[in-house]
Amino acid sequence: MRFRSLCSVLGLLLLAGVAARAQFQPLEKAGVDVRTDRTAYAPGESFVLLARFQIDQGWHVNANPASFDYLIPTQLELDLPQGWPQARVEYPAGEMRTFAFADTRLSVYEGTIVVQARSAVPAGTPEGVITIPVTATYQACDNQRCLPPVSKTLDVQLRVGAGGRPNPAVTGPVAEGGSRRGVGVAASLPLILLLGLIGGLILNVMPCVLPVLSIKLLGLVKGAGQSRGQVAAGALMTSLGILVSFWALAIGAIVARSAGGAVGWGVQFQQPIFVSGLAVVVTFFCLNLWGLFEIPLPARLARVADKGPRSGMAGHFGSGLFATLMATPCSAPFLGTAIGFALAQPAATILEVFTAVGLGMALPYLLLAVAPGMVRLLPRPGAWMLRLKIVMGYLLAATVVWLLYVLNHQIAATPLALVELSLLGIALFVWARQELHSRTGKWLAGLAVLAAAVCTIVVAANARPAEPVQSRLAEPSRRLIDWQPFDRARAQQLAADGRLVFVDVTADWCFTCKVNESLVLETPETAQLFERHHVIPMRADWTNRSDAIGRFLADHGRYGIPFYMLYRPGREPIVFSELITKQALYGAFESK
Amino acid sequence: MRKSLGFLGCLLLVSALPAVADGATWMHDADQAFAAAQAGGKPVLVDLYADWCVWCKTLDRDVFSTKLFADYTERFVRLRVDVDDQGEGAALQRRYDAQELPTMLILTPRNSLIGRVVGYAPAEKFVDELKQAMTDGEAFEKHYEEASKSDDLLVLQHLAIELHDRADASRAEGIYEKLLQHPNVPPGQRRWIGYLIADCLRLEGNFDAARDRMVEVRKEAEAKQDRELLSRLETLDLLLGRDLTGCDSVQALHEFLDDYPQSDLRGQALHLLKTRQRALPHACA
Repeated sequence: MRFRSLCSVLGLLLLAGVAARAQFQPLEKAGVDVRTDRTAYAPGESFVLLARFQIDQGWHVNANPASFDYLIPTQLELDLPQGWPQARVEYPAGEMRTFAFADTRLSVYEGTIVVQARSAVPAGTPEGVITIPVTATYQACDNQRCLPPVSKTLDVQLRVGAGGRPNPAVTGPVAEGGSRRGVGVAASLPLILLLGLIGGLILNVMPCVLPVLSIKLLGLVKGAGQSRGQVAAGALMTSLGILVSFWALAIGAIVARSAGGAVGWGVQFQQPIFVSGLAVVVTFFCLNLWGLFEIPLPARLARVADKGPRSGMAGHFGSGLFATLMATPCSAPFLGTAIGFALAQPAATILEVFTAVGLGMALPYLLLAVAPGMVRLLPRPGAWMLRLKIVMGYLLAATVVWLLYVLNHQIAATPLALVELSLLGIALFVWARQELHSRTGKWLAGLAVLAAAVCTIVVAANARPAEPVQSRLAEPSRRLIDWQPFDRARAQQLAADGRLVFVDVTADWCFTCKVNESLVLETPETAQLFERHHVIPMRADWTNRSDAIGRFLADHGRYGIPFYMLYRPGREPIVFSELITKQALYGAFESK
Repeated sequence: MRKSLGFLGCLLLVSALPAVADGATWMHDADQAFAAAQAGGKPVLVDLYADWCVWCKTLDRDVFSTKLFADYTERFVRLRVDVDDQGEGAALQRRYDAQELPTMLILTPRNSLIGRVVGYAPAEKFVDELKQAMTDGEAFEKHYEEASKSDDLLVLQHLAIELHDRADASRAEGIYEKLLQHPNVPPGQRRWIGYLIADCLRLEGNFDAARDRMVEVRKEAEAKQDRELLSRLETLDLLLGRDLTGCDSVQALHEFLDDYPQSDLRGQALHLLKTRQRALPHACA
């Protein structure tokens, strides 16, 4: 009896299973949806219907026109009310494909495509909602078999009346007609190396390096009183420091890439631990300039340094390292192209390109090494140098403020306050160490300095993250330009719908970005320009790690910011220089 | 002029010769083909194609024209049918649920399934696939011979399911009927078997019988509140509406929409209805 009931259950399961054959199996390999480009149209206004075909992976549909007469092309038909102008349907260009096993070349669509149909609401049409039946026809094949043609009729509601806005529902991924434009294989390595060299040279005058200039400037001015040999040696050491740090960056990039991590120029600024560590270092430099603290060299090194003309060599080397570190949040013209190219290449090429950039940045010092006499062009050292040191100290203090501003967007308020207190502690204990005379006192103060420094970094490393970036962007503000959070798919869709979309990829740690924003973007002229051309401004915030933004940059052959791009309907997007100018920006709109 | 015409004629003849010698010849009438198969004791090889199907054309051009294919398929009666012919082609496509094209069906002279090959492949691979389908089919035939004689409930259920799954509707129906005769089949299963028979009848194109069966099963399912089965019957109803042609289809779809006001399949039904109405040259009474 038990056996029979088991059989009965099994049998029922089997029978229910076979009934799957009698399911309404969808043989549709493409999803179709149709939208209007605006929410409403005034009588007399033209309109665009966007039909999106999302074709299943591994399948294709015939393009329009199809490769052969007998094939059924993808088609969109509008059943417009009587008296409306006939719709003009625009099909994207097909992709010529050869499929496995056969040599037949076919013009097909794959992935997601958008077909546009244009017509106009006749003048005098009464207000209201008009239903337009839209029939989409396609016939799908994979590389071996074909499915019967599918015709789907969808009713599109078109509202006639005032107050139409761009349709917010028009979103979703749309094929980005060949805008993946990576700096291709076509770019030759010698050219890239030259670009890297020039980019490196320009880095010296980029805004984020400016605070470091204070240290360099002092170094150079000191040099004015030294022998030619000493000047040359110092310049060489600075160059070496720059080069070594670039090699370290290159190795870091190679390791990160092989580990599948995000690589990019300045991405380390996305790590609170790095930013706070840098803040500690800059604080020490600042205190040094204010005369509260001498940079202590390890005893042995100091002895070596004191012996000969190499005195202070470690300091020169250190300033080279420091200059590079401070330069990393800045991308410069040519630099983005070179680094972008390198990061997509084998390890050896990465090393070569980074070396070229390092050499470029070190070029002024190398020149000084070759012609130490040039140092005489600088003013002679004197009492004014002490005052300059104090002023430069303030510049570095300003740099600390900037780093804290960056940190402010990465970690929550309480840990940030702790970091700030720790930095203050460092300053206090450094001063105390100088004031105290007993050995024990000095030792204790030194220990306190160390503890405060460690505290800064530990707190930052374990801090709760700050509020999400998007919510900050969504905040109502009094900004001139109403930036929307960047959404790549939406940007592409809007461009496909005939809108201009300006994308600004920025980060709080990107000094060049901030400078560009204040000089070019956040200006009344640009705001007016955007308004006049109905531009949708989108901002991508890369302050914190975002793979989506990293990919977006990489797809355009860049690995650093600032990055500015203008999506244009039916054309390749324009990518602007890292140092965007009003002329370049306005020029792009003239030629749109 | 005449000379050159003669020359052209010769040229045409010469160019046509290899095709005649190498390529396979096909019959185009299903009744004649099955009659020939019965007379000669050969299985029928059916090429289901459509005009819009690029891989069907490629198969014709690259495979059917080869000596390899022609030689191997000598053992069959070869039949080519267009699935859009509104006749035998469409019936064979529906019967064996062959939506993907090209599909080669290997059928017995009595029109039951031995095997099938779906999709394009180069000649050598394609012939190998046909051979494999024949081998598998022969193995299945042996299995069928033995299993169909069994009295074991599970063996019979398995066999029916295998047949149904191969869209071998007439033989599946035979086994389902045999199951219904079986004394040990509980009433719950009988309802399901009734439903599966209705689906086989639909595949065979016996729509009236399918509908009658369905109505019967639905009554039982409603009495027993068998929700799962009721939902399957709803799908079957829509499939019937889809498989019917012309005004019959339009009427069946209208009925479906009236009978199931809450159905999840309403969207599909409405879409089918629109497509059907559009294809009709005149409105249905």
